Amino acid sequence: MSATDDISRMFRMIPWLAEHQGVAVKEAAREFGITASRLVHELGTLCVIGSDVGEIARGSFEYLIDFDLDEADNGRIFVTPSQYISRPLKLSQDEALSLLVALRSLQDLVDDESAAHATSAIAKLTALIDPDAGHVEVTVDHGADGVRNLLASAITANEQLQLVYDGVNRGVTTRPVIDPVALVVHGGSAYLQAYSRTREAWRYYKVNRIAEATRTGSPTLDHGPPPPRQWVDEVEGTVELHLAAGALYLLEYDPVRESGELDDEVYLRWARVPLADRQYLTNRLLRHADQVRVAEPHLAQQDAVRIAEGALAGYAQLAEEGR
Amino acid sequence: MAVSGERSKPVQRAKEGKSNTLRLMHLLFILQSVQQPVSRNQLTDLVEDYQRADSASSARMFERDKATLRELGVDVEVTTIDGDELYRVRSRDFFLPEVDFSAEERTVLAIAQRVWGEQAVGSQARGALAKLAAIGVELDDEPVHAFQPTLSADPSLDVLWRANSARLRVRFTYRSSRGEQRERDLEPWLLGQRAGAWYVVGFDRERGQRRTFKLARIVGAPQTYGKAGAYRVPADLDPVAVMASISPERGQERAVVAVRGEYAPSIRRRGEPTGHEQTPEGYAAYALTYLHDDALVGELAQFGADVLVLEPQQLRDLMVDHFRRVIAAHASTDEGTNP
Repeated sequence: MSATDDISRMFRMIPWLAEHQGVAVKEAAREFGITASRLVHELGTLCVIGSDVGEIARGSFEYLIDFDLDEADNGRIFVTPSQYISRPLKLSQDEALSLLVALRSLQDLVDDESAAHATSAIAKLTALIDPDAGHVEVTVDHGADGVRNLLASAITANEQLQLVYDGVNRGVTTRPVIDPVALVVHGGSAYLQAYSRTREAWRYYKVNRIAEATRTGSPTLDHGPPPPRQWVDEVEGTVELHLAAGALYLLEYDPVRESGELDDEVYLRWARVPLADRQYLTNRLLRHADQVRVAEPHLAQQDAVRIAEGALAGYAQLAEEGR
Repeated sequence: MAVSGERSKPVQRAKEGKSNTLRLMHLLFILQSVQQPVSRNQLTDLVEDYQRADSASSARMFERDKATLRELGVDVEVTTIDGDELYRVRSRDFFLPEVDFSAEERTVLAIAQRVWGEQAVGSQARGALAKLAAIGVELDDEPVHAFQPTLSADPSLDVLWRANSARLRVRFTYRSSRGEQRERDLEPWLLGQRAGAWYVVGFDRERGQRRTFKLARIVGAPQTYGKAGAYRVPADLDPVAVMASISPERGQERAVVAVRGEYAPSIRRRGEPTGHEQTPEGYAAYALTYLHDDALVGELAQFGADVLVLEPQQLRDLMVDHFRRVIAAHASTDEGTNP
């Protein structure tokens, strides 16, 4: 903890203690993450600051704080701050910016009304800092605004929805009836967490793949608490991939566990990736062909080859008919 | 709300930290409460630590303390009389001004406090909320389940965040898309997140022009150097437009593809329904615009025979060639041999 953090804490602590007169020493110490003895020592030192000031100032004689040591011995804190320590320090640029960016990122997720409250909170915070603070721009991929607002309102109002959804792995449109419970961001994209009445299971739906959402007119049912979020499960274990130049970007987009350099002219790096299902790897092999090498034989390779053969047959037939 | 506290550190350092802090509090109090500016000699008489140290280290200590106070936003005024520097603090600008938030605004702040998760940058937001809590802006600590925004983490983010807001130059090793590594020297203008990936945009000092870097391609830890405020960010910088330019372009190339039934919804939604005489039975034709052959071939290949390119012929040939490479690269491995 640097001196600046520590001083910043003092300027928070004294006004807070003044607001919470008679607070237990232990509770106050816990609130500010220090030991009880340190807290009492600090207050004991701060309350004698000021006694010498008359020597130089002629007139202005005051203590930094007034602190009741006897009450502290009884385990309670009573503090009266002077005007010199009556408020916390102003927000640093980094503090304000970090909070502003957090507020902006949630605007892409909540209903229009909450987004408006975020806007007014942002305006109040922005007024507190130097307008030339660093620029930070964040966007959440949240699909169409209309869909996002409908989902957010349905969650708040406990309304059941029917979705028209672009399924990912199976690559086909589905129309599940769902009870929506939450909008969650993962990897820069918004997901709807919902109980699928169609599948009778908890599901995440990527919001930008929701083509349409319609209220069914029924209320949602209580399905108990949803299971804890697990984005990258390893149902199928992990797999080691060798990446050529054309597939290196996988390191930036996929949930890579470990990676390192390879001593090979073509395959520059290795990466160990968790497999939620086999389809993930099949899709990667179809996309990258020889730019990805699987370190140990995997069933997904057979799937990819079968799908590639099917596609070649399709193209052969097109060529036949075009003749 | 919980505030990250003192981590365990060697006792000696903790003690030093404690006395430094209390000395700074004393110094700040004197500078604020005096009626006339005071000299360093007068301050030495008043502050115990300055008295105890020899003259040279006392002077260094005072210089450090002044710098720390300024870092905290305190305006330490200096006047020079007869060659002697005199100091005082009059402005109260370092205090948090009056500000209040409505119940609804506090609800969104309560959601915002979880956005950064455990990331270092998030401790800054938590620090801001702790200051607001000290003036009575207290938030509900119960997590709001219905809305859970998060910002992606990156190991380089913390250093670049500070560099960007303090206008510090920064050096780092960067891996290009072809896998080559090079040292970069950058004046950051803008940090941004797109599709979950962080980018830093700034002036590349070697190339003498604006460049964009993806944080995920930075190798090791970036190092800041020099002084804060080392450069200016162009006044006409439009952060929104710059970040929008990072998003993938739509492209000018045109293709017609056949999609089977309800398969490949992402392609059907992106495409424009059209007619084509070669459309196989059970398929529908869609026109697509795209940027590069390579990227489109890889994307369409995942759908196998559910998406077939009808035209242009050259793209169709690339698809056929690509599927042959998939088979050549992955067919024989079920016998445990690599080609």
